[in-house]
Amino acid sequence: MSRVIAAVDDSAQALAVVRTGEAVASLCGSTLEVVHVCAGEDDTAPAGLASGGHEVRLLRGLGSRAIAEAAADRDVAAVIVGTGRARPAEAFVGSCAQQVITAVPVPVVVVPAHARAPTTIRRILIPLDGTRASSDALRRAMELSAQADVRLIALHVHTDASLPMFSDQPHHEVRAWSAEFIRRHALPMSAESPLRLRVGQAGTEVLAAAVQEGADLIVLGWRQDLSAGRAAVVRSTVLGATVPVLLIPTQREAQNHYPVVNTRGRAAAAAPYPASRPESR
Amino acid sequence: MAASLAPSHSRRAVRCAVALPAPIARRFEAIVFDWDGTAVPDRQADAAPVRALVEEACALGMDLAIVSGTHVRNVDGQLAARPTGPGRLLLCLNRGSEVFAVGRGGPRLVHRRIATHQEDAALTAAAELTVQRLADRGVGAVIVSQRLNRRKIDLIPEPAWAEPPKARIGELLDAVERRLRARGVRSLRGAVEIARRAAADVGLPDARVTSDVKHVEIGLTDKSDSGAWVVSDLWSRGVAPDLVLVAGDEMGELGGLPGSDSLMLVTEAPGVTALSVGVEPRGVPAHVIHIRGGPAAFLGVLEDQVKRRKRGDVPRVTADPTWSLHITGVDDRLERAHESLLCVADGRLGSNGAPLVAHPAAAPSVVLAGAYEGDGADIALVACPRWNRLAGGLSAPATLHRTLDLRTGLIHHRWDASMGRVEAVAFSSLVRPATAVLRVSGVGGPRPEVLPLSTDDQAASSPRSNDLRWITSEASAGAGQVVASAVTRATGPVAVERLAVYALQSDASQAASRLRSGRRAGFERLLVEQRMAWAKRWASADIVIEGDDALQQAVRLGLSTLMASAADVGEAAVGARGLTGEAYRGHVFWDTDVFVLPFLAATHPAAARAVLEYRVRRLPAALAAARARGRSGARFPWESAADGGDVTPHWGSDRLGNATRIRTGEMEEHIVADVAWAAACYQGWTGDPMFAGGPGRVLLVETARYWASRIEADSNGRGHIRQVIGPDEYHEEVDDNAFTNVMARWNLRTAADAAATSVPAAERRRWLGIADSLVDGYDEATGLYEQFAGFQRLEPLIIRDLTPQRPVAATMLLGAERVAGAQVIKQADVLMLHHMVPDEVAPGSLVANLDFYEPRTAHGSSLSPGIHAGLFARAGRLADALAALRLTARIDIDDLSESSAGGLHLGAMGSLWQALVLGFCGVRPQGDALRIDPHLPAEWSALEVRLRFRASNVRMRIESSKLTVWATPPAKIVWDESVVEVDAMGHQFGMAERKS
Repeated sequence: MSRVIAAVDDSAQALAVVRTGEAVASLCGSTLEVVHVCAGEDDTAPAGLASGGHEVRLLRGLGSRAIAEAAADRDVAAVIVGTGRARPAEAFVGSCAQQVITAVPVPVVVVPAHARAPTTIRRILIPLDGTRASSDALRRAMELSAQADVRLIALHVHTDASLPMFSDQPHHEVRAWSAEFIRRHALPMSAESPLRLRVGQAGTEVLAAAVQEGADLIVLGWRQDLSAGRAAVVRSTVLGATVPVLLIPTQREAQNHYPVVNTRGRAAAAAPYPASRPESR
Repeated sequence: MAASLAPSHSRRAVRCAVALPAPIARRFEAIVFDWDGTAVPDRQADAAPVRALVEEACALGMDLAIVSGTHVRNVDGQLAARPTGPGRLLLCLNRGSEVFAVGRGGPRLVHRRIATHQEDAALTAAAELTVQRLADRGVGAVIVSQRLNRRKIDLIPEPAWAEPPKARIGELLDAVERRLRARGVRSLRGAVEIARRAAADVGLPDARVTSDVKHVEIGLTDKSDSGAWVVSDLWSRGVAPDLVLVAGDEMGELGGLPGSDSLMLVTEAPGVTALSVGVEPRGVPAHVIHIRGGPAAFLGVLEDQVKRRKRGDVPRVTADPTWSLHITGVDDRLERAHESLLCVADGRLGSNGAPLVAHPAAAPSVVLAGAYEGDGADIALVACPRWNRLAGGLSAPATLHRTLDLRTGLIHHRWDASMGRVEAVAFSSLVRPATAVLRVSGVGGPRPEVLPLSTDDQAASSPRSNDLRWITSEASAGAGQVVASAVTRATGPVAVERLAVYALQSDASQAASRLRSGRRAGFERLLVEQRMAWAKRWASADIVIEGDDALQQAVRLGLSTLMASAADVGEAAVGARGLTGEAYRGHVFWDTDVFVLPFLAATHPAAARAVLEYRVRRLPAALAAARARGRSGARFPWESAADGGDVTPHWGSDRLGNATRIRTGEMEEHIVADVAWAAACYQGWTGDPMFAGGPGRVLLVETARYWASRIEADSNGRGHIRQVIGPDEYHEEVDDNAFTNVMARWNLRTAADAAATSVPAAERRRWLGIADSLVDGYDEATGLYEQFAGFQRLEPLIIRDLTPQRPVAATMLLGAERVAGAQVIKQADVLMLHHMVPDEVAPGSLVANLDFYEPRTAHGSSLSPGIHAGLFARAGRLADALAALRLTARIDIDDLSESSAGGLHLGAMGSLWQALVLGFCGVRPQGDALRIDPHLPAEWSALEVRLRFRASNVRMRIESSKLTVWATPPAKIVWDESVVEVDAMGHQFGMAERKS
């Protein structure tokens, strides 16, 4: 049986991390192991460490490295961490959490500072932006929850610039568009599955959708890249979510293969209609 | 790669083994060839081997044309071929002046250039003057014979050169030029120049002056006329130039003159493959393939063609990018959209262009028009069993090449499988609708395996004996159930053919006989039929845009899709995506009546009639729907499918997942007038008296009765139509929508006029009174129609200024609630009146309403840009017109809606045709005449349109300075408020001379 590791510290978030760990372990059909990283020579857990009644395994070493080493075992299905204290202005999680989410090769559930810890996970929101990362995340989430009675809610956020041009008869169009979106991005779901659509800034809309849909967990695929300009949705979601956020690492997106079509026209299509249609469409 | 041909059985004596170079080691669909020196060594030679091959090639579907300077007795007497088809044998004789079609009964004259007396006399004078001028220089030359439309002058009337064989042409040239030079004429070319000047001096500036070295000939025609005639004839049979081989023995220059056979390579036929089997003492041009060997080599080529057909070689399709759509590889993202674009259909059966072998990104689809399953709003097209599936897969997606030939409705597939390359061609027979044909051949590998008919992959493993048996779709039993059957047979060592038929279960016996007759006809005959049928459609529908190849391709894609979407017998249920996909469930909307039907009425009236028949047969349901609402007459449904009941759902979800009430079925009642308008549109183009006096009148009358019962009078006696949705579906439950009201008014008036003998006068007077009472929102002060009561009080939001990106689904951008409270329009609404019923709106009101409403239009419907393109053109705003037109043309080809995977936007394609014909050409039926008022963008050098008006085939060509119109039989044209009768000789109108 696989394990879910909940890494706790002595902060107030520890109990939420453990409770989230319990829910995630139940979702995955795994056992939960609560771990604490001991600094220095100390070999006892701090007094009052919230473990939710679970036995705490003590890890030695540098916090994030010790967690990463523990997560390297083949039977580890996921790691649960709290956000910790984010000190630099640009940081959205504490340094330990940041090192864990960027280094650990397994899914990491981040429990935001103000998140409610779910007792069970029944509704999972999966934002899909058409990238391979998001498709992989959906696939992984489905694998993780294969045995559970859980509802996956797929979401796509249109920005103003990516709004569809036409919506002839919306009730037919939504069905056709959604089915094609699912196929186009090779999503592991039925083409008939409902796809929630929203318009606006992705980060904002993901949070709003999580509330509206009563999600217990948000799943995001990402490439563990926090360099400038990257992972905007991950940052804003972890910062603002009121439920845990499951980050699923994926490989870098392969180059899209476009076939050669002898239409002479993609350039022609970019011609402005009347006068002001941007070429980016 | 070269194919080695060995001589066979009785022909061994005349055939030589020839290694064919790669460019001609392929299947051609037609061969045009010279006779003397190419097919036979001389006119005394035994032509039996040629005869046998010619008859065999024609029987296998190949078209052949023999080009010669001599007359029919000579060639037919020597060849004596009597082919029985399906391929055709033409004799293009008398150096371009005559064409004979040869059949079982011998040659039949199909074309002759008849000289006038003046031309005949001038030819004689030109020949005599040439002989005189040569004599003046000391060259003795004689006029040896008078042939049809030409005079022949012997430059070397010496016994030693009386009958020079072709093989000695080099020696002959030397002898002739020696003789000429000795008397001061520098070359053979000089002698030709003397003849040309003589012809010009006697009034024949365009004389064709040619030489076969021994003679100079002055004529009205030459082999280029034969070449042009044959190319045109082949084109009318659906054979494109790049599928044609032109063979001769004099392609290279001789004596400074182009080889006589090179004249067959006319500019009208770019892309033909040229072959010379002659001696060619001065070589051949780079584009000509030269294999020595004379007639024996040519017979080797002909025999190779016969062999290829017998072994089942797959025919090619044109590579002309303005007539084809080619897709290389498989893009996982766009594959389904590409499959829609590559659909082959015949008006009844539609099969998308999915790879023939399994691929995870593919979504194969086969649908039969009118075959629905399910109930109520859930009713949808039946997913039919697939006929076009092969075992195996692609070795690499990049090796897949698919080409849709827009001119013939053929799709060609080529890919590398694990066992070698595979080629296939498939089509849905326009001549035998709901009959699908496939030929597939392994190239360097084993024969591919065609899988049995099936609806799913699991059934693919069922035994092949499934063939020859009926299989039934998985749809629940009932009228919508589809039956299908197929026969599959091996052709040669590596090829296999499949013929499949589909039908509603109630028509199964008819389908069985279709299967038997298709089987008897065989692949090659079915192919010839298909090409000819499509060519015939194009002959009255093509649009040529000179100066924009990308637009040209997209327009032809649109036209071919429209042509393939409607049957031309019985009824045609044309859904919003036609036969190209399963989206919109095959439901029939106003798209069909208003956007698709005009194209059909003006190009193939039988199909338009079938579209109307769909409505006629559902009139009882429309009458019942009106009755159920306490109304009179007929109320057609917004969404229609099998039985004519309304299949519009009542609830759905919008793009944001919000549950929304769908009110179009309840309120979008303009569909009632749209159906009537479609009937009148068909009537306007065709003048069909049977329809006008029968079902057409019934449609007009019953729809008028509906409006008469639907319109409410207020206390002032003004008529109103309340609680409707206009074409602008962003605003629901509005009162007095201008479009609905004016269309209803038009409906009442038109019916009153059409039903003078069938409806009591009192009822008709009542209709006219109601029509006159109807408010239409027109404000004389501003020249504007108010889109509906209260529109001007809405938030004056101008979407053009709000967002740089139109078209846009405005309800998503701004939210449905805000849009409903603002002057943001989904698509042309008031402006649809100017488009559809220009005589029913205030004269001169187009520009004011275009200026007001277009900036407020989001164009969130794919039906909108095309209509605006036409209106902009009529208003003379050609830059905006062109931008809107190009956008419309790219909707599917670039998948702008990201939903082309579910099928192509048939309505938008119809609007594209309307923009070009009604807008840019300014064409509109006006009684028994056709009004033309063209507008040509500076970017185009010419716009040419073909259509049918009443009984005439009309062709019009618009250039910057003139309009030329041809009509066969003659037709009346309204030009600049004058009526002119135009015939096949054509009539020119000066664009600058227009007064109005």
